[in-house]
Amino acid sequence: MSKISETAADKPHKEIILEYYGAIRESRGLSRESVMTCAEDIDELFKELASQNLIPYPRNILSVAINDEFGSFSSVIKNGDKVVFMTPVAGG
Amino acid sequence: MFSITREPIDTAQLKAQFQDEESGAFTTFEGWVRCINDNKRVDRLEYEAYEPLATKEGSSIIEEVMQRFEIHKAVCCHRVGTLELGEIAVWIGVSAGHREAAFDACRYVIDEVKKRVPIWKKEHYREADSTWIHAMSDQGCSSCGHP
Repeated sequence: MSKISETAADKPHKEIILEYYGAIRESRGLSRESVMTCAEDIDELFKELASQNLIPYPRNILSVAINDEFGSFSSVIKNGDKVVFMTPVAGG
Repeated sequence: MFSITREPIDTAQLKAQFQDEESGAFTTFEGWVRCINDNKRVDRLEYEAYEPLATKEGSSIIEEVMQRFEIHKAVCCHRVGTLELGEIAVWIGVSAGHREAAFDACRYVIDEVKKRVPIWKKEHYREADSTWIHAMSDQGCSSCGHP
């Protein structure tokens, strides 16, 4: 398990699952990992990940899912959540 | 019904679901892997899905199309994994009383699937590095001819 935030020591840390697909999975070299974060919402989580270049794509092209439902960057994160950042889809 | 499969798409089996005496029209769309995109020779495609969400979103599209158009049945099956040239990446079938609704509904399903369902495609080229295709980019799509 990696710890992705050392800031805001007064905030409770949460353990979440990050899943990766497509180009993000390939750049991360993993399909899934457990991380500790004190991010309160997806926006804060994205900033933490982006600062470590773990999601090497700009926020404005990404969408997000929480627990297998579409979410938004203002969605609140809870302990145990599964979060997926997604590049633009290309099925069909 | 929306489904994702790792096996080659069996069009006869999918079509067999549509036998009924009330439908006067049956339309299908097949997205095929073609050999060239963006002036590069394509060797094969690799599709990857976020399956739980892809199945939910694909099923929502099927529910929508049933509500929006005067049709009897709609089915979409999307392949994932490695696909060779000529293989079917996506199959859509729609039955209706009349052809106009069947054509329109079939078009609606493929357009929405391409925009909304979390499935990604990597193109492997004969003479260049492979690339993940992002629908927002200017790159075309080597499986169905859409930009």
